[in-house]
Amino acid sequence: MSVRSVLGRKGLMSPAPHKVSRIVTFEGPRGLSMRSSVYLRHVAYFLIIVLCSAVSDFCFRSVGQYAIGGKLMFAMCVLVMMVAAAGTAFYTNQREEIIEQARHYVFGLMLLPGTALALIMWAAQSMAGTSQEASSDQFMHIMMIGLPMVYFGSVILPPVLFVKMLTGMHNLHRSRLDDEELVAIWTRQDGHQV
Amino acid sequence: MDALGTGLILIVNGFLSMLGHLADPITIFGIILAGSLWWLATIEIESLNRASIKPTVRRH
Repeated sequence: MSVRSVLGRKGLMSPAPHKVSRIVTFEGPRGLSMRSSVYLRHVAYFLIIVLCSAVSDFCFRSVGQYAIGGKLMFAMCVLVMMVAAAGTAFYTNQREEIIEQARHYVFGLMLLPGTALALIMWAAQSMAGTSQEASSDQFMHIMMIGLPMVYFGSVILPPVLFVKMLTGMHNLHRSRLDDEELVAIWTRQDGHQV
Repeated sequence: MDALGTGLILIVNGFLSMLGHLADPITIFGIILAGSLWWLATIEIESLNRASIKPTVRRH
């Protein structure tokens, strides 16, 4: 009798083959495909983050003082994901919510809008570079100053807000009602019952 | 023998250059990102495991 089987029997160690066979027994092959799709989805997240940061880096490379743009986007996405991972360890009952919010912040607020802004800026810059008329245009001039500002705003602000949201999470979910009022609502003794 | 020596030197050189790249900030960020995503994936798997049907009768 091996050490592994003894530990497994006592519930101290659960070897992977045992887990796989349990999943197949109770959920069928769909259980395994569901779990592998979760891992594949996270590999896709990694690739999308790297790809969008690389595209932004390419767009910002020629803009002298803002050349750090793409790298900054990557660093900020890493920050959000790292804080989310740490947050799931601290707030175990909010895990689903934290993952959902981290995904929303990274993909909805930073990566895709940031990459779109970087691409627009790159296109506007190349247009201003080739056309004499466009380069002297006041609107184009303002856009070339304004777009990097908006980009940096959309890349730097969300991580700050995310960290603030996460650190204030237990405050957000803490009830401000006093005990008597809370119990009255819970037990539906609030005078509104039919 | 020469081929073996060259191969060993190539492997050692490759390993050292890989170590050199590890000090690159972008690589460090990439490793942190991969670790964080792996952790988040593990948590999702864990919640799937919790939600899966388990035997209610204890086997002896």
